[in-house]
Amino acid sequence: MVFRAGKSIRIVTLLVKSILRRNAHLILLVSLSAPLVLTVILYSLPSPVLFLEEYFSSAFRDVNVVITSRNSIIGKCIKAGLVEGELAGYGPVTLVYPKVITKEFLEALKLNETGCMCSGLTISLPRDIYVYLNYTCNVGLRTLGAYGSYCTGYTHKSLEAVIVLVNGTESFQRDNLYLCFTSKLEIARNTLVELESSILSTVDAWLFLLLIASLPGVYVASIRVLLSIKSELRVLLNVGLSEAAVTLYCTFALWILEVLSGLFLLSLSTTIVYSASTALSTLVPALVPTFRLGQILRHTLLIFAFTYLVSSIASRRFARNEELL
Amino acid sequence: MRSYFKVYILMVRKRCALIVFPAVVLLVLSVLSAYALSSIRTLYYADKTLLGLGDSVVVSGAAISPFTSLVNSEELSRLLAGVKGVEVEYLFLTLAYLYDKPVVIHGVEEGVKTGCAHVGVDLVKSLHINVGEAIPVHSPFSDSTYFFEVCGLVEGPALLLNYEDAIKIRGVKPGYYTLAVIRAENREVLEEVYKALGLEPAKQKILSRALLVLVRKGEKISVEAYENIIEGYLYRLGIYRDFVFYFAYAMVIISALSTPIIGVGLVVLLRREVYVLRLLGLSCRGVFLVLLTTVVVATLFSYALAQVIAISGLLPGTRVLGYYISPSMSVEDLICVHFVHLVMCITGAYIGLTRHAK
Repeated sequence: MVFRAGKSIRIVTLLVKSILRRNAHLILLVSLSAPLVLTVILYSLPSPVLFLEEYFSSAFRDVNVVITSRNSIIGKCIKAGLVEGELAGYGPVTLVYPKVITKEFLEALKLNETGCMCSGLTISLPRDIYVYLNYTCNVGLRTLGAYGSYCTGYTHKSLEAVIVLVNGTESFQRDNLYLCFTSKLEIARNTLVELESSILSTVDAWLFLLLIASLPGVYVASIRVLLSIKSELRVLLNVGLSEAAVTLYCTFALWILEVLSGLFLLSLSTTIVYSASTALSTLVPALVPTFRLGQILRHTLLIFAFTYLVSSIASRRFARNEELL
Repeated sequence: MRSYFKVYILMVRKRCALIVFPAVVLLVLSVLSAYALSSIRTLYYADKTLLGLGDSVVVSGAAISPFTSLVNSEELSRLLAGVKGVEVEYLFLTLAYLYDKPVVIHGVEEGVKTGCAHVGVDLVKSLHINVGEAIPVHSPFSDSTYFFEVCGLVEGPALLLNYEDAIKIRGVKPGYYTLAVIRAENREVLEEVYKALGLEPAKQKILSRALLVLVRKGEKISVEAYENIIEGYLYRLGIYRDFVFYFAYAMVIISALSTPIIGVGLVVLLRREVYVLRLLGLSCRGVFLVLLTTVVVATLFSYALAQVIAISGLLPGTRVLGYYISPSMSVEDLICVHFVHLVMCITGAYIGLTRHAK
């Protein structure tokens, strides 16, 4: 079987023109409308992350906070140990042992110097406890069964725990804690990104199932289109073209029309979504749709891949079935 | 009529695909549409899942969520001072980060000691927390991290703290709560409650389930009433319930846009039989009746299977702040989407037959 590019293109063009002349492509347009229109609509749902950035970014961006985490994915993190202890004259407290103490770390924690002259073991107390202990410079601390005297070098407000500022402390039973320095905006963004991705994964699965459910419709539409050009196909077979060649030409002709119909539906639905949103926002303050081009492109390509498969099955069945021809 | 029925039975016996093909396609399309519809419906009744409120009149402050609202108990008691036969329950709910995970915090006045936390079993599993250890809770309101000892476990994904600890995280004074649940003895008492709160007579449609939002304007307090509790918060974000439901119904209709092809497909599938029947003298209307029966039977099969799927709870839900919200497909939703698909399918069969006749 030898294919000549020029001849093949001419035959495919002829088939496409015949289909268009008989308006038979409309059924392909209908069969693809549900998966493609809903792809655009659902992947244009307003993003909560963009909403956050639009309304709260100025208020949240410059607020630096210290957050504890089980991993070091948010902002700049330092590994730390967390143990229970007892502060003389106060009672049980939680102690945080940072593994590495740097100048940057001290600045990020927003520690305030107490004015005590510390040379040995230094700690930073929560401001309330420091006031409760009557601005003392030396406190007794019992932790991990050992008792020691510590100098109150700093106070802080970010953590309601005593921060032990000793470099290279021994490993603790639970040292899988990280002290992360980041902005308030970043924490909120992380939460909303998680929420958005869980919504989008549901949308992905929903659209994929819709695509699978639409494929029998695409198959029926392909058969209907081929039935409309059966006289042309009969002529092609009579002039000596093989079944395989006819199958291939039909597949290409159908697929070209499906891609064109798909692109038309994509642009139409995008226009409708954005026009409707603009019209709505003039009436009431509404959320603006987020155009997720990557996801739309990925799902559209998936639709085109599946439609190629269906077109090829329909064309093969059509070319081999004498009853249909 | 009997002859049509005989023809129909004969065709079904010969071709099982006649029922299986449309039934399967309709089942998938209908379940997907009903799932989308019920997911949105479930979102608007999430207060039952998230807050366990049930049918009650809830008083909230003006806020974008129930976790950021504030109600002063003294002020509300003062407003309701003259009303007898009413019981007010105050709830304290807020949002915080347990490690870096957002969690819902319930502040309770009894049952949890100060400095203690009762952690939801779902959080225990996901964050590998043990009883007796210290857990960090970061407040997005005061930007401070507080440490609590895990003293016990509770059902669900929330964190139970003592009221004093919870208000410390929220950064408010004692006497403030997030929501107040009002339970009136009867409708007359409820009417008095609405009057006492200052709801305009025109808006006094007495509802057994409502959200009353108290908005302070200087010295005056005005009241806004919402039939749906979640709607009272979402509309402040520019999400309107009517538009959300129009969107859901539009999705159902769009997903049914391709359904006429199923009807056309039936004619393609039966083109030989239709040709023979027409030759034998069966009218075009008769053939359409046969196709109509096929579509109706396939829709009934699809509906029955969809009900089985709805009851079995096979469909996945979504997690909101750790709470699992499973969409419950209602009978009304399933009937509505099947009806839409049935109409589209019949239209398709009619178009297919007309073209075939030509």
